[in-house]
Formats: sequence, structure tokens, C-alpha cells
Amino acid sequence: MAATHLPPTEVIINDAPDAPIARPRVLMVGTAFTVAAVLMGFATLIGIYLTERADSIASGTAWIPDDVVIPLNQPNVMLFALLASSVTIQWAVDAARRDDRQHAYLALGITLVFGLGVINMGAYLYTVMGLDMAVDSVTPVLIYTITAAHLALLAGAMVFTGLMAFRALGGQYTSRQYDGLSAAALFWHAQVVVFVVIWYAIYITK
Amino acid sequence: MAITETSTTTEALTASTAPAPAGYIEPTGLGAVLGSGDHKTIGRLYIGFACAFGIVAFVLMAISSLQGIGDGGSVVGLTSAFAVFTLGQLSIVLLFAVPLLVGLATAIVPLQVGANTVAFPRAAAGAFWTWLVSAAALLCAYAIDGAIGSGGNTESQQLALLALIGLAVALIVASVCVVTTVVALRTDGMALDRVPFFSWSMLVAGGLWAMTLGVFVANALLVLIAVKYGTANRFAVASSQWPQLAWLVAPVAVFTFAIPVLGIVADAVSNFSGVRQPRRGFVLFAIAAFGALSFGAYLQPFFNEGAWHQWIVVGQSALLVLPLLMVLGGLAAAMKAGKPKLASPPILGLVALLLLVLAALLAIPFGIQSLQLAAPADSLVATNEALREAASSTPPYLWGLLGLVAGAIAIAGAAGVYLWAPKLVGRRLGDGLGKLLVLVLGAGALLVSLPLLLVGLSARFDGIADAADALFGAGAAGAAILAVGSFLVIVPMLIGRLDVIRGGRIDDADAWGTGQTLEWLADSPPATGNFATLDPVVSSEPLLDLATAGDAA
Repeated sequence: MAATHLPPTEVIINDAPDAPIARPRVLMVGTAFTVAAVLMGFATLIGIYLTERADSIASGTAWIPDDVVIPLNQPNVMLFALLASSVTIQWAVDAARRDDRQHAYLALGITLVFGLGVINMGAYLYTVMGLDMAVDSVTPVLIYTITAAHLALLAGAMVFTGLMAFRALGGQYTSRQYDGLSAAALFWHAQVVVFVVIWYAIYITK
Repeated sequence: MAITETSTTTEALTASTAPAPAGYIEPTGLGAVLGSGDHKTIGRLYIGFACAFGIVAFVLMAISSLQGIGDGGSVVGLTSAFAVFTLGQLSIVLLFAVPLLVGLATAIVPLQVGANTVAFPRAAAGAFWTWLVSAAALLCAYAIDGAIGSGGNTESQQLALLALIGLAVALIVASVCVVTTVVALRTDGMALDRVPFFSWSMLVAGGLWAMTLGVFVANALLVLIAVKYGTANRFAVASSQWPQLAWLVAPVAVFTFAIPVLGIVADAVSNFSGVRQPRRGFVLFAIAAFGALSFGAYLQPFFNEGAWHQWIVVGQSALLVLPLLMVLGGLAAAMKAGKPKLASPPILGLVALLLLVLAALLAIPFGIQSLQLAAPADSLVATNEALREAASSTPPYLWGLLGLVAGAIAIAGAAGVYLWAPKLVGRRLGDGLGKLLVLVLGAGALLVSLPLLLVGLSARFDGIADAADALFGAGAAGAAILAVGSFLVIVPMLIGRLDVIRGGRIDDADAWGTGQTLEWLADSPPATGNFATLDPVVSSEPLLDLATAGDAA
């Protein structure tokens, strides 16, 4: 057959079968196990917090000193920001699934802004709480350890999401393969769940 | 085309190994070690360093045991005795047992499931180097008065705690890489119930290790923050630091680290029996059940006094024996059905399994309060400050149990190294030395554990306290023998590897001639990429399928 009788290149490419997906589910599975480890760590810290708090109250000692005021404004705003960020990151996954790249970028950007806002508000909360670490009490140690570990987890989730956002910008995630974004969303949702528990166990019940 | 339908000629087998990509230059020398993301290299590094640290850990255990003699100041003096004790206990788990099994898994699991690499190879390499640096930091911190719970230099203690967190995080990441390989990178046709026993046991263990070590990280983080910022509270007080972390080396949690022992034994025995494992699902279930029953990170006596004596914990300990007996029964059925070869891997494996059964049996009485196993006799601790300090949170009965479990892991590790040496270093190791290891490690494990378990009974039975010096001495001898055993594992491995690198003998793909699973289809040692292409497997023993097809042809 003469070369001029070959079908156009784009026809050949369009008719070619899809290449198999390289390493399906790998990132999702790895993230799921990592999330399990992280959740166990926080379950331990919060379990210790609640045990110590119950013991303290049972012995008639104030769990949080009277001169310490933990405001609810910041934790509430942090909670709503994180709940909203859960929606936006799921929006990013959905947009990637529909090959809607513009909305995927927009949703990822908003998610990261929410994350930055929560870290900023968490840092501000520390300045107004006035919990002194150098006292003969485990209360400040537990509160700072748990809340700071959550902020570190959030920072980690932001790095993960940012990395996946760059990969999405590079065109790696499409309707065929958006595993990385799903994995980042799973990690993000996990840290939101952790904060919901912290919000109730520490900020609400005090 | 299924693997059973392929030609059984040598050409067909060698064609399934990975060809080097065009233009690819295999790194050599130090670059091949330091910069490698190849799972075999990472696995070898883990095994080598874990055995080296194992020597250190068992020597520390021997010294701790010697500190039980007389007034406790006989070897390292009273001031260092507690530091040696805690470092020895932590080293057994975090520097020896878990890394040894993680190393074997990183090297072998991808081959067993027909993967070209471990999942997240750069993360796996990063985890190894993080583990190694953290291990060095832990030893350095202890060397500069940073022992946990010793009341020494605060900054050094912070380094030690940070190193512990680094060790645990690195092992979590390494476990996640292995588990993800089993879940997501299995070759076509390999359903989860067709996964080889060792890979299955690592799937169970890796998930549980990630969760258990996640809890340990939280405990260590709490102590670190307390020591660094809140020095006046009870979490930071020297006497309460070790009790917050000691659950890691106590039952039931310590059995979590022995889950892969079952996988190694099952693979070794079924391979050398030459038959398909009868009631395979039964054995897989038993391994999973052992894993589920060994989860003990929730058991933290520092925060829940008397937790060891709760009925649920005693019941959990009692049930733990059943899956071990189920595995033993399953393997007995395989040996009965086939003609088992008496090579070192199955013998080592079976000894490890029997020791684990013994450890599980001996763990049951610990929770029974009336037996008074949670503290040695008053007459012993009254005159020995070192023993009093160590036994306050970790009684000698638990030293014995840890020694028994560590011995079982060491022997199973040796079984794994001997079984898969062709894949690790390119050639089989001397079977005679392997059989010698059965005696050395078996004797060491019994000697390090039984005397200390007897000391643990001293509060209940009069007369044992009088023989305590001899019992502690015997325990020290056992630990020293285990240290020698660890040395005997790495030396032939190093010699074999160097021999192959220098162009010495290289074994066949199926070096033992008894292989059943996919690792025995890859070269010895496997090339980069392991397999180029693999046809779908149709059973859990693809190499037996291949042999059957060859016989039929």
C-alpha cells in the first residue's frame, strides 16, 4: 500500500485502544493505610486526653484553670472552614472525573486557601488561650500536643494536595485516572474528621 | 494465556525475566547502594543492618540480665543500668525484629506477587534511610546521657524521643509500601486468596504495624512535648517516661511483630513438602486471626492501671494460641501429604513456630493476678536497685516473654534469609550452617527466656528467689548466644553477596528445585524490574501448574 493511502495520523491515534492504567489504586491504597496509622495516633492522644480529664474531674480538680479562657469563636470558624474545604476538595475530584480542568484547579485553590486560613486561625488561637506549659498539670501538654499535631497534619495534607494540584496542572489526572486527587481528598477528609473530634472533645466540652 | 499454558522449556522461563531498558547503565559500587530504589537492595540493607543492630540489642539484653545479679552494679553500674535496660528492650523491637521482617518483605513480597517493584520505591528507600539515621540518633542520644526515664540530660532525651518517633514513622512508611504492593500490584489472576503465605502475613502484619506504631508515635510525641515544654507535669517526670512506652514490648502487642513468622514458616514448609498446601484457606484464616488477636496497642497500663489483669486481655491472650495451633496443624497436613526435604529453612521455620506457640502459652498466666507475675519477689528488688527500677514497669516475666518472641523472630528471619538467599544474594547459603543456626538460635531463645520467666515466678513460689543469680546469669548467656546467632546470619549473606558480585556461582531461578510461587520464576538474583511480562496465574502455586503442564506435554 502506498504511503499516501494510509489513514491520517489522528485517525490512527483515535482508533487505538486505551493504554492500560499504570499502577491503578496504588496511591489510594497507600494513603488509606497511612490514614489508618494517623487516625490511630490521634485516637490515642484524644483517648489519653479524655481519660486524664475524667480522672481530674473525678478527683475534684479543675481540668482547665479558672484564669484560662479558651474562646469558641476561632474553633467554630476553623470547623466551618474545614467542613467547607471537604466539599471543595470533593468538588476538585468530581471536576477531574468529568475532565473539567478549570473547575478542578479552582476547587483545589480554594481548598488550599481554606487550609491556610485554618492554620492562621489556629496560631492566633494559641496567642489568646494563655495556657501556660510550665505548670504542674498535663492539661496544657495534652491540649497543645493534640491541636498542634492536627495543624501539622493539616500542613501535611496541604503539601499532599498541592503536589497533586501540580500534577493535575501537568495534565496527569483525567477522567481515566484521577487516583492522586482521590487519595489527597481521602487524606484531607481524615484530617477534617480529626478536627471535628478535637472541636467537640477539647473546645466544646473543655 | 494462563501461566499453565505456556511452554515449560528453559527459554520460556528465562524470557519472562526483565530485559534491561535500552541505554540503561546499571549503577555500581557505592552509588548502587546509596541511591538505589530497587527493592532487593533496600531489603538487603534492612536485613544487614537489622542483624547488626540485633547483635547490639541482644548484648544489651545480656547486660540487663547480668544487672539482676547481686546488688545490680556488677557490669555497667547502677547509673547506667536503666539506660541499658530500656535501650535493649526498644532495640529488640525497633532496631531488630520489625526491620528484619520489613527487609525480607521489601525484597521478597514484590517477587512473590509478580510485581516489577515495591509500591512507592522512593518512599521505601526514604523509609530505610530515615530508619537508619534515627537508629544512629537513638544510640548517640543514649551515649550522651539521653536515656528515656533516666533523668539525665533533657536535650539528649529529646533527641532520643525524636529518634524513636523517626524509627516508628520510617517503619510505618516501609510497612505501607509492602502492604500496598500486596493489595495493588499483584499480577493478573492473583486474587488475594492466591497470595503466597509470606505476602499474606505481611498484608496482615503491615496494616497492624502501621496502626500499632501510630499509637507508639502518639505516646512518644506526648512525652517529647512534655519533656521539652512542660517539665513540671507527670508525663515528663523521669519515672513515668518509660512506663508510657513500655506497652510496645509487652504482651499482647509484642505478638503483633511476630505475625510474619507464620508466613515464612508456611512458605518454607509448603515449598519443601513438594505438594500444594492442603486447606490453604484455613491457614490463611489462621494467620489473619493471629493478627487480629495480637493487636494490643490499646493496652496501656500507665493510663489504665490494672489493664493487664482485665478478663478481656486474659481472654485475648488465651485465644492467641488457637490460630498458632491451626497453622501448625495445616503445615502438618502438608508434610503428611508430601515428602518434606529436611533442609534448613523449614527446620528453622518450624522451630520458630514452636517457640511462638510456647510464648503464646506462657503469656496467658501473666494476666492472672493471683499468680503474682507482675513483680519479682520483694527480697530480690529490696537489695537490687537496678532490678527494682526496671521491674517497676516491665517485670522479669515480660523480659522472658520478649526474649522468647524475639528468639522466634530471629529464627524465622534466619529461615527467610536461608530460603530466599538465592533472591537476596544470588546463591544458596550453606545448609550445614543453617542447621547449626537451628541449634544456636533455638538454644539462645530458650535460655534467654525460660530462666527469666522463672524469676518472674519468684513472688509466687518460695525458693526461686534463692536461685535468681543463676537464673539471671543463664538469661544473659542466652542473650549472648542470640547475639552470636545474629552474627552468623549476616556473615554468610555478606560472603555470598560478595562472591556473586565478583562473578562467583549464581544459582538457578528455582534454586531449591522445590519452588511453588512466582519468586522462583525470577533470576537469582533478580534483574532490575524482576519480570518483563507474566501470564495470568490460575492458582496459588503457579510453578506447580507449570510443572504439571510440562509433565502432561
